[in-house]
Amino acid sequence: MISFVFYLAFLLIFVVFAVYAERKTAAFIQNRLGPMEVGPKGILQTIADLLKMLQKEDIRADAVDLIPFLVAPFIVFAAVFTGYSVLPINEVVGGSGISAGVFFLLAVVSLDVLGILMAGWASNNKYSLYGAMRSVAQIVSYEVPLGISVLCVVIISGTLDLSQMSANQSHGLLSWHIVNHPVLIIPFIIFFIASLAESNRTPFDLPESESELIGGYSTEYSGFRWGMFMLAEYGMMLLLSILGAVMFFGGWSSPIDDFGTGPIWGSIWLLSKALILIFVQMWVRWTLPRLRVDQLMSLSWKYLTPLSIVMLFICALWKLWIIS
Amino acid sequence: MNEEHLTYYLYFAAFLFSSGVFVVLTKRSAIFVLIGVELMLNGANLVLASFSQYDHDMKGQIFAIFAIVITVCEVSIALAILLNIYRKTRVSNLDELREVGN
Amino acid sequence: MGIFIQILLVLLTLLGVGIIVYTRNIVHAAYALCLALVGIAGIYVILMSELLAVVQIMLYAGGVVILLAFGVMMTNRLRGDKVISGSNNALIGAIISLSLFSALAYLISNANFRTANIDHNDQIREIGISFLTEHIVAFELIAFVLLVALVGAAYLAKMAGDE
Repeated sequence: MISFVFYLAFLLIFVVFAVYAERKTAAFIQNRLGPMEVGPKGILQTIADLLKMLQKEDIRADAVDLIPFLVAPFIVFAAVFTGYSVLPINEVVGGSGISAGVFFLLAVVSLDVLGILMAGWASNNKYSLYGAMRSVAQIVSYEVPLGISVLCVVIISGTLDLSQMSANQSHGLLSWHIVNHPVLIIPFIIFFIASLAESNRTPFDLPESESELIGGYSTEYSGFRWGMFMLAEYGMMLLLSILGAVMFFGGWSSPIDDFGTGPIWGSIWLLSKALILIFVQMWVRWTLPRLRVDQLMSLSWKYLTPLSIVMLFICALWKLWIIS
Repeated sequence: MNEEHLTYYLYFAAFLFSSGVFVVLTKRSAIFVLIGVELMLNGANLVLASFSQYDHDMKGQIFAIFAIVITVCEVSIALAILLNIYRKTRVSNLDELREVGN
Repeated sequence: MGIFIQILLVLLTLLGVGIIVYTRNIVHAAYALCLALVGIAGIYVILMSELLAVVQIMLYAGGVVILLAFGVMMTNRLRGDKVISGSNNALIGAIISLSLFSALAYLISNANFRTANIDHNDQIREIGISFLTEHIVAFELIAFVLLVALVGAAYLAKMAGDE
């Protein structure tokens, strides 16, 4: 229960700051200033946008399929947020004690595809359907390298439980998985690229490309339901970043042995590592151009999937020969 | 879980199976029939799982996992075949498919 | 509390099955199938089959339902009216399935099952070990079946794309 309240509160507060951080990052990369009017240095910009979005009218066109149309944003957000249930916070408060920790996360996160499909079909709009189909094809294709790179980490750490995985890495910087087992560097890169594709971020944001498809599957939505889709996108970003921090970068353990231990320091370390990964995701978004849909699919099936299978084999050999 | 609850789950699984049979027998569209087959398979898996809770080796659970994997293969091939038929004949209604074809 | 969750999950699954039997819209039936499958996955957790529940969510609800929905949308090509499916001989179908259900219910009520109290901890490790020791032949055969299905589906998709 504590973990549910903590992650819900953290996600909502995080989205407010993340939208501001994204606009400022975009501005500085593009050599301009970004929001500066509302509040000192534009800090209150997101709050103004939030108030505007919440009081907008909930438009429902006549020809939409009503129940799937209304329910779809909540399914997407619920599927993403259920994945937070297995994430640990610190050494005292772990996630839910499911024996299939990471496996459950990957299974539930593949349910948000259904919400996107519902939104696209129920909107009764050609552009929504194209955006939804592209998004579903992209998410389903990139789940394969994501799952296989997670499997590489599971082979090396020997457990599916994320709290146990963090506890295994709690002896300083040299015991983090990416430092102690350098064979995990390439799976980390594959995991990072797949996590960009899972949250529909550039360079994989063809489903919501503003210049081609208006808004993709969220075209017909307005007000709070559209905000739910954006909340689900940032939620997926944060979920996969925290998962990457737990699996590769030590979870809630501090880099210097004995310095910052204890529950509060543990959660500060975990969230800082996740926020650094999110900053890298935003940085990549405003630096790289968008991939075309056939380049996107061929990247996943022709390059990332064979590479992750080869890395799975190499990680199994590493576990067999080096560790035991 | 005592024996009473076991029989309730078995009745529930029998209900799932028979409603799957109903959907397969009465619906006209081919994809609806696939949905009915899914319901039948889930009823059978529920029987396997409800007996595996009394088994130390969990053989029922393992059998059910194999059954799910085979079902997934079967559904994907069936859908590929249905899409092929649809592209050739523009018909997805199982009654009319009897008359089309050689 | 435990009995309340069991009844809730059974009602959720019954709602899904009811929508599938009653509706004529195939897309709604696919969504209701997903609801029924997630409900059944919850029942698997109560029956202490955790790995089976997670496999059910990942493969069935996350895979098969998406496939079905894609299939429906592909065979209807952005025209909304063809998603409706009629039904044939609903009365005879209902009689057959009711008689099947009563036959099964008679068998279940006459059977005498022995139960035991087994303690299930750390299921995944034991299932993994038994996959590679006791059930290894079935495991390898499943891998082969998956490979054949993958190649077959890719070939069928290519055949369709050559039109």
